Amino acid sequence: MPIVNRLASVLLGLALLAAGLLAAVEAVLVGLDRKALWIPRDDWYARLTTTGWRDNSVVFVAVVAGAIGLLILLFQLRPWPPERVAVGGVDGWYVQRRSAEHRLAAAASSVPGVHEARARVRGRTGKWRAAVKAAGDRDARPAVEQAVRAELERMAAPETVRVGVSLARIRRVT
Amino acid sequence: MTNRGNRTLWTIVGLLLLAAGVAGVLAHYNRFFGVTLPSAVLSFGFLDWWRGLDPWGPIIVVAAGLVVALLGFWLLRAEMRTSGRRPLHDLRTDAPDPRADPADEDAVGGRTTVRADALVRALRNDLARQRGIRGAKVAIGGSATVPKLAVRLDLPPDAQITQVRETFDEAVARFTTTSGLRPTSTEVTNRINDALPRVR
Repeated sequence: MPIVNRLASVLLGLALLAAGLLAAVEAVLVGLDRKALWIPRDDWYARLTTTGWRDNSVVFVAVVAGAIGLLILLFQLRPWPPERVAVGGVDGWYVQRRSAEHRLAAAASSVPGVHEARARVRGRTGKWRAAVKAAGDRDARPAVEQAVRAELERMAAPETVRVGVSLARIRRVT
Repeated sequence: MTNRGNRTLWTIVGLLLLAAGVAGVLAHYNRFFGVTLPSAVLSFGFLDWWRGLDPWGPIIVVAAGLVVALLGFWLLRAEMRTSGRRPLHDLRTDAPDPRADPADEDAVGGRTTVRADALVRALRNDLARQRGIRGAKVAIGGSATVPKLAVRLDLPPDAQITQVRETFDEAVARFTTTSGLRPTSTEVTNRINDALPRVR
């Protein structure tokens, strides 16, 4: 998600740069009473002076703009998983969230009889929690918890990190 | 720009678009806060006012266009700085001209410049050479008196963060001894993965 925002910001920056320069150049041409370079001035003038606020095109443009704005707002305001999570005992040290998830899943998968482990780290950067889901016998749960805890210790995760482990029984094809 | 900065920017863009959309719909249904809108989007009243500005109209548009272009340029430049910090400037030390002090015959005047990117490379290479660290990305921001350090470390899966911290602190101590810069704030993000980092 942050990468989408970054790309969109780069595009916005390019668009502002191009539009600003184009507007400046076109305004200079207007001042010098020269022909427009790229903007069809006469067409735009004719259209904007003949289009009323009651026109359907106005409401169409407004609804599209509003809908895009609403989508952007929803996308930005919904909770995002943290990019990185804090390490315990020291300020300014973090572990990338994705790394933490991969390592926790790998730790769970290292337990004999446990497969397809997936880990999710959620919460805030400073106060986070981990949830591990895997396929395996429920008897393996303490071993998985122990492996996950050991991995968290290796990462120097804060002691307050809550860990949830859920194991689903492996389906057997008979 | 930081992720938080981008998120704030797009929240504002979303709000502006939503507000414009709502305003357009209200204007269409003639419910625009009791204001009687002109018949055309580009009204003749506005056009008369604009013509009255002559010859300042095009000059105002040129200035506004340049401001918008500058904003776009700033945004692009900010996106290049993912840490959201201004990079450190080169360090310059001026020694006084020896002619000013005839008693000191050995003095040599001049200016010493230490390039900031050389300092960044030095710390990065030192960190990447350490046992238990596969690679590092370093950014130094702030100023010479208040340097701020942002580092990303690539670590192998068996890395113990507490040991890495000790190694890191030693590397920063060496950096301080060499450069004279004592970071006032340090941010270290660890990336632990199985894959070996790309060879530069």
